[in-house]
Amino acid sequence: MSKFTKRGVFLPSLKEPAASRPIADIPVPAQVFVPLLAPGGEPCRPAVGNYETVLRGEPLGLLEGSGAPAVYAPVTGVLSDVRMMTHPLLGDISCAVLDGMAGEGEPPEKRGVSGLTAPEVLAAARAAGIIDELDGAPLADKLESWVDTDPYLLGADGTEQEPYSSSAWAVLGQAAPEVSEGLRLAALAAGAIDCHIAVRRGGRQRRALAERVPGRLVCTVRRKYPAVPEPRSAVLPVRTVGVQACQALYRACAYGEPQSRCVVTVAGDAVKNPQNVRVPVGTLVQDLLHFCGLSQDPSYVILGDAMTGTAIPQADIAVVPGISCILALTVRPQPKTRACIGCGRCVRACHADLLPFEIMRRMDNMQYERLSRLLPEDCDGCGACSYVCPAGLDVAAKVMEARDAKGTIFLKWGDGDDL
Amino acid sequence: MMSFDVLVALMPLCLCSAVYYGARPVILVLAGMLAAVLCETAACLFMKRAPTVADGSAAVTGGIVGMLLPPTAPYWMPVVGAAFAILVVKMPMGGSGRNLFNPAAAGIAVLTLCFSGTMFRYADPGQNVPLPLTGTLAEVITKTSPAAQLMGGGETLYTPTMLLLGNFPGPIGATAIALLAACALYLFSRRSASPLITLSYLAACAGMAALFPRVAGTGHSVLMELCSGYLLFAGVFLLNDPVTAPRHWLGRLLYGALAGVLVMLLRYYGRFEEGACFAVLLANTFAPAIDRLGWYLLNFHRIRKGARSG
Repeated sequence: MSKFTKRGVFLPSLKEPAASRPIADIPVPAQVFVPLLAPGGEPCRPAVGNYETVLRGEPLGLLEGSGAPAVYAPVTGVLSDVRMMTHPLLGDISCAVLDGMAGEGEPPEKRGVSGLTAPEVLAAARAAGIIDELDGAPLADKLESWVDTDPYLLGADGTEQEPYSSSAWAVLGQAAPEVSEGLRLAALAAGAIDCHIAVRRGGRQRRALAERVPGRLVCTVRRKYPAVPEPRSAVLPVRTVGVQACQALYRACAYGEPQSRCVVTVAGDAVKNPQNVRVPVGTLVQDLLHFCGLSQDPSYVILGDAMTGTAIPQADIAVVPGISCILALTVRPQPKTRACIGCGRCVRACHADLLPFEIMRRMDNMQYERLSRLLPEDCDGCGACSYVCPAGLDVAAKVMEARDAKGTIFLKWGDGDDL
Repeated sequence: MMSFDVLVALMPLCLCSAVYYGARPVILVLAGMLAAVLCETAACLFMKRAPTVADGSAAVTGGIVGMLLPPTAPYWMPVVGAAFAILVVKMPMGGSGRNLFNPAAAGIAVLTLCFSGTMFRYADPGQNVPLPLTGTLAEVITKTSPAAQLMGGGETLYTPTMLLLGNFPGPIGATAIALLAACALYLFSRRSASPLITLSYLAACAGMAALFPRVAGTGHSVLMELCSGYLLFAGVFLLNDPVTAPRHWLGRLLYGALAGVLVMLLRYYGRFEEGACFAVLLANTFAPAIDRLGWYLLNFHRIRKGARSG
């Protein structure tokens, strides 16, 4: 139904000036905090002892069980500590603290990627520990789960539909051929019929891309947020992977390079120089903000973009793949919230075709037994309902609360009534 | 802000009425607004909660009550109607956003039931004499309204031009049909009213009028039924109250159609020449069920799938 009724909201674009600036490389930070966590979520132990030096790209973490290398050093540095840290996306994890030094490992040797087979690509993706920045899931697992499913198209999501972030655009602008080649490899590994790079309809960026990587384009049909990439002609479903993951996959196959860097958009009204920065995994958010400069003290630092990000209490959080935007915002006066009058704008905005106001009311009235029929588990947390709410209510938070509470005892209270 | 859009839309209707009847209708509408705002403030104080007057919904309720009175109504009438709407229908249900029935429709319904003689005594707008602001209104020349003529089954005296310009006896705000249509377009463009509700309501009314005409000629019957009384006003302002209307598009279509059928049935078989307020109240009772019914119909497969897997 959502395709038919074209739900969603129009968001303002706040990407400038970051989107038109080249990607900046952050100097090697004094300390990076690398989560000792394999892409699948298994804990790792450090591969080297304390105060030993690792070169960039060398193994840093070994799987607890098999001892296979799973985490690689994003910078050349000295392992000084292993510390428990709380990460808003990963939970409580142990991090390897590397004191960064200038210096690179061996320059990698280029190999041809044209003759690779699907299992080889999957193995390379797994060995490089590539995380898809769209959802934070391991790329290899994602691709493998799509093999032997119904026919579909694979899209590299370069739409950047949220207000601030432009990291995928920046990566495409710098390394479109690598992304395109990585996407081809991903499609090969995942058994997709064809692959495209999804960008927004129209615009300078799309035309530039069309010249550089011919035949790899699909327009999103809608400019509304959230934009679901749809091919222009075919009726096949589209599955998406991240642009950065595609580039990482290419580099893993061509150079045997593990994914150790990610491109992050740093923006917000408290940032002096909004730009896209390429950072080693494990760089602290505060170092990143310091690099871009703060014009004033931010009231909120947000991991992720304005629609789906989470505010973090302190800025000593390690950047991991999956974070492609960081916002530092100053307080702006919040409009006073009012009661829901049921205007129905959230219903019109919801691309999952839910009744957000109804879910919120059931949550507020503690009528949990009626929630299961309202399908809150279909919510993908896009936040459009909160964005449009004229009463200033955080509808999306309530819906996500209902979604995440599924299966708890409260939902099984009572029998519920019909309708 | 939706309430303020509605207030903006009510203003030209009120001014148009002032052209025909002088300052009296304006005073009636303002009295209704003031009474509603005061009642809501008092109720909020009594219920020990922060006043909700600032959201404008009370002023809209009082304004609509005033707009649906005849220009000859005494000044206490909008006050009584607005007080009933706020103190009995709106606030005891929990105030803004929680009322089950449209307060303005309920206020008008009560006035219609209690003072039906006054409610349907419409002054003749063709006299071009302002109504007296004070004193007795016994000498005011009244005229049979189109709705009453339809009810009586006689020939109707009004031309389409007269109907579009509001030059026929009727409630203060509900006669200027062309202006009402413009207000509706304004509200649609501001997304303060849903075209789905209004159009399905009008379509249902027109369908009923075409199938069961009370005057000769299908087109004439449709035009007369849609333009007489406050049928169109109810479709634009009463049915589109966001609190009581469904939110899902299919529910909105069904709701509008239901209200349209009810309005026409009340006209055909009801006691009064105009029963749109009762139709709105009846439709309100079904609105939550219709809303979820529409959504469940469209998402039946998803719910079944979820029930099987969970």
